[in-house]
Amino acid sequence: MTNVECEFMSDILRAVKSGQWTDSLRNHAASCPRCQETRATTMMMKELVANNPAHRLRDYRVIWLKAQYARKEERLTKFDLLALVGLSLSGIAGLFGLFLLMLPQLSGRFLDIMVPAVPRLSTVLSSGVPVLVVTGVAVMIWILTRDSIFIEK
Amino acid sequence: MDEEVFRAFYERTNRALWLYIAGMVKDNELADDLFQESYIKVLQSRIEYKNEPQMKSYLYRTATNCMRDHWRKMKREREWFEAEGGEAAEVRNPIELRHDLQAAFSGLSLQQRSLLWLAYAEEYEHKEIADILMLKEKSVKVLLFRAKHKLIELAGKLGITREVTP
Repeated sequence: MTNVECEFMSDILRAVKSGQWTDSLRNHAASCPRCQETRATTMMMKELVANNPAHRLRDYRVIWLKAQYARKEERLTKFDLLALVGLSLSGIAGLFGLFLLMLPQLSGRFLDIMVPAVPRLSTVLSSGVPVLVVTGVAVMIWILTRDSIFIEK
Repeated sequence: MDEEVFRAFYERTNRALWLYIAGMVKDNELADDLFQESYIKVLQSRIEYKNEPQMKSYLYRTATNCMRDHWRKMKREREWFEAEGGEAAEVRNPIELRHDLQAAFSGLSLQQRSLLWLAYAEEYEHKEIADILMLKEKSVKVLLFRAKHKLIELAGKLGITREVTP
């Protein structure tokens, strides 16, 4: 058995659907087993479609609103992730800065050994840490409120 | 896709898509859920609406994937339940098979049903079917041929005969 359809397959399909047969197509269908199968299958499928009960479909607005909500939720999940990363980074930076501030001698010695060319980095850091923390918090607030500020149409 | 474009697209495609899904799953409630999920996924994907056939193909592909995912989940749940020592639950099929033809159709695999539905009920070209079912065009020809034979064979076993001469 070869898995090849007859060249008249699409014509048979159309004829079964429309009920319009030309004489030559009718003669061909009567003698071609492939086309007989196509015709039988088309009739069966037609019957299956016709047998489906009338069913009330959902209003498009319900689906539209659900999609908007799902999209918003998806975006919020991304924002949550960003906020978490932002929070973690600013937290780590803050802790590191705090550690350096609380142990100035240690930090001084550490900096003198590691980076002798940088003068009084602890002073720079001491003024920089609050700025860093405030910036981190501001970025987080922006990320979390962005969705409610820019409401999508 | 804005709301107005979606409304028009939905109105043109909803009936046929629901019939396609219901024809595959034979469960109206499940068909409703998968139907809704398909449209939501299409909207979520932010695919650009270029033309109707492209969008329709994408919609059917999404619906087919939703059905596939549902089947896989059902299969996993059954296997897990069996592994836990329970008896496998019957596949839920709340709609009575209204006649033998539906029983014959239900005897086909999801892929075979999809192929036949898209080719014979929706009259999609082989290329479009290949796109929807993510198959090669050549494979569609062969698989469709086999699906057709299987349906005729199953119908024959159930004593369903259709007039074959026009």
